[in-house]
Amino acid sequence: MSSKRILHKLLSKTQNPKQLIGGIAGTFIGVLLLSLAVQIYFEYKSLFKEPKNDFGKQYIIINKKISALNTLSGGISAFSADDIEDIKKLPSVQNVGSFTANRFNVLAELSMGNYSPGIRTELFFEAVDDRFIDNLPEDWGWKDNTIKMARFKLRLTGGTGLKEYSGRVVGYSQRLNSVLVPKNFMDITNNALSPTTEKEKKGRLIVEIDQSKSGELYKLIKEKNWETNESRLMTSKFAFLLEMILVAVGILGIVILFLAFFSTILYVLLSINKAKYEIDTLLLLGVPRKHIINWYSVNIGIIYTVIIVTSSALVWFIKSMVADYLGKFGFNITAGINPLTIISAVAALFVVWLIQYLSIRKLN
Amino acid sequence: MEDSFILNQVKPNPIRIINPESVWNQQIELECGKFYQVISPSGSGKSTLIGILNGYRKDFEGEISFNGKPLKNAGVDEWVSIRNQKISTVYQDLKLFDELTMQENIGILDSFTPHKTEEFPIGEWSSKLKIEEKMDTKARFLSYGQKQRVAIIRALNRNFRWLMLDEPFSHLDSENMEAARLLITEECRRRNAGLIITGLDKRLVQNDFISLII
Repeated sequence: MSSKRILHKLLSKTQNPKQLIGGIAGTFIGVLLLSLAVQIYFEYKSLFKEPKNDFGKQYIIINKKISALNTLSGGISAFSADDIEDIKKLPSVQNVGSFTANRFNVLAELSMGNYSPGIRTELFFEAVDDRFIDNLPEDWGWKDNTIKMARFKLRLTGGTGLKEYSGRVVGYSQRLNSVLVPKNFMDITNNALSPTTEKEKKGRLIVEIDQSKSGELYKLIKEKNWETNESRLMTSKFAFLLEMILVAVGILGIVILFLAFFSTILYVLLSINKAKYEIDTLLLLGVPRKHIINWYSVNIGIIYTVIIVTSSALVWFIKSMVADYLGKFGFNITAGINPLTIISAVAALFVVWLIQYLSIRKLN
Repeated sequence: MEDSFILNQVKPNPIRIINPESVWNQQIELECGKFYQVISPSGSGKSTLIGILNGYRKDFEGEISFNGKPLKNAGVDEWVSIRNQKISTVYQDLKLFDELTMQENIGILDSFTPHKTEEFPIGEWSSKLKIEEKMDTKARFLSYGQKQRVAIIRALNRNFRWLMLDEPFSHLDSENMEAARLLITEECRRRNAGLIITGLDKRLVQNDFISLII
């Protein structure tokens, strides 16, 4: 008979699994919360990825103020070549780009399935040089008539005709808060649907500057009575709030895990105490202590492994449900669990298991 | 001497009235290969002595060493290792596992150590002690006398340098007692092991045993 079987025969009669349910459920909930927090954190990080090698650089978007006065005078809300030259003259400015707007109508249709009327909306596009985009997605670009994982239909109409495309969201930008399309798509479509000989109007500029010297630019903006993108501040506040919530959920998970740890270790110590006769007898017969310690530790380890597998499976399931749902609205969420989610669950339970192992090891 | 015990001024704590001729409070060597008997009334400290020699009684003063090594501060693992390799004991309460069969009780070490029960003549010993038909019976269904014989066979079923038996014959009839005593002394002689037997009764006294007074 194997040592495991004989220990099972001797030690398991002193176990009452009902008393263990609280500990297991608590451990499961704790690990699940921790995994979800970690997974959502990485999901959110990959959606709003901070640009790399971008320290010390700041991007400021400038508009002309729209007022009754300049609306009446017509066309004056565009930046002139002199304006741009003034900006470029500032020593802190490294690059200036302009947004190109659509000169055609955009109608986007989102199908919601067979039983739903769907959503239809007019949109405005903007395009900017790729170098100003903070989080350039891998599949950024376009091909004529390509239907690739289409999420919504685009109907573009201009003075010279109509074009239909399928589109999808490939990424999100923390820096640029407009619906961006690839620059070459915009140029080609503008020329095809609404050709013009006029010089392109530059309604919005994006300026790359040295962050430490941004004061000069703000001075110029004030002088010229322009506007900047204050809305980005809102995004950071939202991001901060979301991060705080995730940290809170993660900490809650760890706290629950910690409480469950006490419940589990008390159960184990109680079981050891109830099996005192059997354990003492084995030691008196000369059975090495490690067999008994290992029996308890391995059994807890098996329970914890099952908890990690089920909670990871549940996180995966929840994620694919959310991804499916959001996918209908054009959000593109990658499949699968982040390995760090599983690693953090394993690490947390390993620490708990180690503390339990160390307290069981004191048995005599 | 190899595998001998030395008790140096050992006495139970709290101290009781000590007979000046007793093993307590003096320097005494228990030599491996010699046979000892402790015959005295109940409550006189026989089990205390067995407990001290097995390392599970710590309520004593003085020094104990085994094979030249002081053991006063030895930990659980060190004692387990000594019991595993050197000492086999039949405790007064036998310490059988009620839920295991006679066979499983006897062969318990097979599961945990390299020990192999099939290298020992369990069948022969069981028939000498007239208990061979109980092999597959759970210990809880055995009488106390039968349990005592199972515990004796379990104690013989291993390598040891010392065999210690704490009132092993208390529930045996004289025929079984003689058979058990013969088996035990034969085995200890064959293996050149030390033997300590405790008992209550003067009729257990063996002339060729060294008497320890307690």
